[in-house]
Amino acid sequence: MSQLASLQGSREAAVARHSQGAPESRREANKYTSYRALEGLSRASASLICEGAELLDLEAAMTRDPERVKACLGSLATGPWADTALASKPNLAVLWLSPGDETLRVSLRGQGAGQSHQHLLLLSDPDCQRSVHLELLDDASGSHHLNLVIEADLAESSRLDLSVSQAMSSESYVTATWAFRLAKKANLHAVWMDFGAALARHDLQVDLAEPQARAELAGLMLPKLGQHHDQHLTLHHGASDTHSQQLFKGLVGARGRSVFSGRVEIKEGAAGCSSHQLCRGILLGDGAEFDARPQLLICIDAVEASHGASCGAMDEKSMFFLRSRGLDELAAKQLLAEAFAGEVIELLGDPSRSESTLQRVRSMIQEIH
Amino acid sequence: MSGNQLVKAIAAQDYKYGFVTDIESDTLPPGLDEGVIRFISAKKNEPQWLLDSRLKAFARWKTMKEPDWAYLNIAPIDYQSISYYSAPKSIKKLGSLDEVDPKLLETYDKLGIPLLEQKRLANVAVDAVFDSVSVGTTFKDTLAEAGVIFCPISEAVQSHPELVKKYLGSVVPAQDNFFSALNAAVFTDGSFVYIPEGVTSPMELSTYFRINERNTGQFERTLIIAEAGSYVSYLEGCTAPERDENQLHAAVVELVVFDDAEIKYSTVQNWYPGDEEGIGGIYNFVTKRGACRGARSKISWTQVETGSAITWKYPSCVLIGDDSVGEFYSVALTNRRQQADTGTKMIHIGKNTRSTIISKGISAGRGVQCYRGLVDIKKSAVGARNFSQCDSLLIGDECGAHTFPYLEIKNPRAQVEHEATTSRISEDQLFFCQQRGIGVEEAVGIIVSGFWKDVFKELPMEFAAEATQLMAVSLEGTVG
Amino acid sequence: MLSINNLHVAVDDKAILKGVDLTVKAGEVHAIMGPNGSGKSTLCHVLAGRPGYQVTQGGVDYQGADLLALEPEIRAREGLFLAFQYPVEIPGISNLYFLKAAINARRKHEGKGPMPAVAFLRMVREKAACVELDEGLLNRSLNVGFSGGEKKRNEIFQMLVLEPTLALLDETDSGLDIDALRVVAEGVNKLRSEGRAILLVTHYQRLLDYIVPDYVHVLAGGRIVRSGDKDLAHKLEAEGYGWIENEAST
Repeated sequence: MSQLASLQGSREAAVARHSQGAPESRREANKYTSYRALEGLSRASASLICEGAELLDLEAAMTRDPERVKACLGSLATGPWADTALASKPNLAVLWLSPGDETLRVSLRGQGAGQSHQHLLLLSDPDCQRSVHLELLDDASGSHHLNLVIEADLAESSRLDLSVSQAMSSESYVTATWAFRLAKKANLHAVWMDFGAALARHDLQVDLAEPQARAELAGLMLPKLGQHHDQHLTLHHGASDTHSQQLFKGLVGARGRSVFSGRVEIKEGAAGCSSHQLCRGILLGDGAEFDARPQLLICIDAVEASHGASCGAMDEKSMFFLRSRGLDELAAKQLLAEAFAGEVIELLGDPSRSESTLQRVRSMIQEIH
Repeated sequence: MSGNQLVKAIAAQDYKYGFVTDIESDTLPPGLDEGVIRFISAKKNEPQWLLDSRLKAFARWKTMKEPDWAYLNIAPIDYQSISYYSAPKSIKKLGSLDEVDPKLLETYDKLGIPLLEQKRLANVAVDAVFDSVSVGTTFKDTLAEAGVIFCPISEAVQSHPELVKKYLGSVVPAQDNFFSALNAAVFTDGSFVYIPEGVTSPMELSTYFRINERNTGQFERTLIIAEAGSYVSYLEGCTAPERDENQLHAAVVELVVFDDAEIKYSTVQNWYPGDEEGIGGIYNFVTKRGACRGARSKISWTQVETGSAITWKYPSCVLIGDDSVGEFYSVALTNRRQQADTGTKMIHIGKNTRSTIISKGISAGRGVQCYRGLVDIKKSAVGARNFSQCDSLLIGDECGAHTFPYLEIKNPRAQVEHEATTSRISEDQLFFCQQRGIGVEEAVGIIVSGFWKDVFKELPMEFAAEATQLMAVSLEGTVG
Repeated sequence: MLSINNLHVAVDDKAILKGVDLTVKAGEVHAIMGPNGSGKSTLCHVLAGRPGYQVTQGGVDYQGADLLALEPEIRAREGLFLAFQYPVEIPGISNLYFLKAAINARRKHEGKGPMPAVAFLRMVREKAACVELDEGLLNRSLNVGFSGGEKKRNEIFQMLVLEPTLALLDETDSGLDIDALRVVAEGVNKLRSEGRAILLVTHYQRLLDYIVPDYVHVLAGGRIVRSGDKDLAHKLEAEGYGWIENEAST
């Protein structure tokens, strides 16, 4: 209980924020997202399994490095869903990343109808390089709302390769807050992929807190038929010579909705930073919607920053070209969809998962067709 | 290398238009209540419906809050400390140039807008608005021959009440926002333009706004109607004296365009920006919106924003008619401690509607600038297209440039593209220019003019040169 | 014309030039060779007045004036031209517009009015032809989207237009194919005259096959360690820089 006492402060603060309801700034962050469906769910549980490493409980983690755990736990992630989770006594697990070639496979599965809260702390040792694959699932036995907070502290010169695939059933919901703090020369390479769920909302909070930290971030959303996929990024360049690249895409079927918000902030004094962002949507049918909010806040001239956003139907010229070479309409569409999604998928760096993801894209096109 | 080596603190720059005209005015004491609104309405001899609509807007305004979502740092405004009406005593008959006080003529001469016939700008008709009233309008007769109505809006209320009643508030309703409600309650003057069907205005139309009196606000209202197949190019210019207190300018501009008609609306905004420490300067809170109601109608906004302590404006287009076109070209420069939150909204409703947004922001000194834009493609806008380009140029390490676009696409057969970049004047570029014999100030001017030229080519010929000069003056002192 | 005396230069407190002495007279062509990192580019930059270099000792006399006391643009207007190793890009400003600004700045300095447009265009076309510069490039933004060779050619073209008294060429030959090298060399040779001096900075000898220098100097470790005529360049080509560095250190 003594360890828990040290967390009391951050939890109380979260409870206080949680009880305040939705302040003005939250309205802007949720301009395109409605959480009405999530109201009134009872508490349920979720199972968390990790292959390749042992998940520590708080006590074990505190034994290892109490100061670091205290500094990170509950203090990296912000926002209403993180507050809700922290205030709801979530399941807590710590994944201590040590060097290794094997990809760690973490799976979080919601059980039954209701709402579950999970809090996962990722800590890497200096110079450690590790890949983590995280799956978000449910057991398809009713509407499950998975509310997840991940706080990751990447130590100096460490590297985390993270891939996330969300494949929940179409009655379920996920709200996930991902907060990363990168120390000097730390490297984050992360890809989020949303395939399922009625509502999937990711709040990605990346803090390039020390010089020469780097982040390469990507996302792919495949919503259709009333699904809402929402990837919401806040990226701080808080130190000089930090660099980031972001690529987010939505392939939106009829009556699907994809939202991307990407806010990049380059602070005063953070000279020599670069940030490049690209976000693209393809709308595949009636009622499909794509909302993009690329944002740049630049407070110093010695930086390089850009963003681009585009949205439209499948390119007609390319369609015509492919069909003139003998492909039927479905095959041409599938090929173009693969090419579109492929830019994100290839960042996974894992051939078997790339192929299965491409298969999802192909079958989505087939269903729509 | 730090930006400080390149850019020194902002040196005093000349604001050429900072003089005060010493003229006796009828000025209402500061304060705002129904009595003030009744006074303004009576002064302008307005019909009952207009007074009623003012009072309704005022009631609404009292329930509203100032918008706080913009990226601006605004000192609290005491709306009771502002005078809502001020007019030179010598103006007897509104809108007539025959008996204008020589002091006023001299003022406009100094501003480069001569009003008397022999000195007038050829081919540009000017409506000169001084504080709360129009001093007069040039070339009225020539325009009348073509059927074009160009007069102060207070005069249009008398001479063409049916047109004013039909269109006023039809694009920007009073309740649209805090400042449009305030304007609807207390607007004093501004220009009214009506271009009949099939008519191309024989000359450029221009309104020149001048704030002179201390502690007054300027609340002008502009309404332009372009009937089917007509065309007009309209330009507004604005200046104010240097004063230590902030002055409020809350204007509303409404454009209505019918089938195949086009309005080209250009602004050269050079209100007093305040001094190096941010003392004084105009608060420029403006609502500008045009409705492309007809098929193939077109609205093109071009703005050059160099003045004002704070600018808050988003000239917008509601593209209702099929194949209608909206354009927004903007160059904004913030220097000293100026702040600007500006951009546009393109609302695509009709089929095959098209819009283009080109925004170039230059931040220097401790200036902060924000582009905020909405591209809203409604379900009905089949085949709609938008292209946006927002570029920022930063000069120094104390300024800021922010970009907040909103893209909302609800039609699968629309095509939207948005790009934004930031760049700076690098020391390499400066040294290269110097090495070829070009001094630092001139080099900055050359690099900046390369940056904004896509927008300048959209300005009417008569004003492009003036605007170029204006930018050069505003940039003075950005480098040491 | 140019007299460099015991010049010491540091960047961020790190000494780069450690006592350079060099005298260049009107009509002469000097080549400065040396291994990478020997301070060749630093010498060019200091002479042209690029910020960021600290002169810790010594000085430079240019036509009787204290060169280092002048602003970079004044040096340029007084006839000093630096052909950049990496010419910069300025989007939105055409080559022609830029050159006009440069020429008129210099003419103003000389008490003359702006050059008449017709004369300017005629002169520019003529000089562009000299370096086989595609006229289409004249109306394009300065160096934006130019290939490496086009940028270098554009530098030589600007040099011909500005007719400098003292031209410094900083590794103008690097990255050029043989045709471009020939064109660049012809441009430089056209500039050779009684009243002008040229300082070529290069790593390789091959440029000197086309532009035959009167003197060759070897810069190593921040000093001129050896001077001679064109044969020295051939010896360097054949034997590399190692022997000089060895000699210098003993």
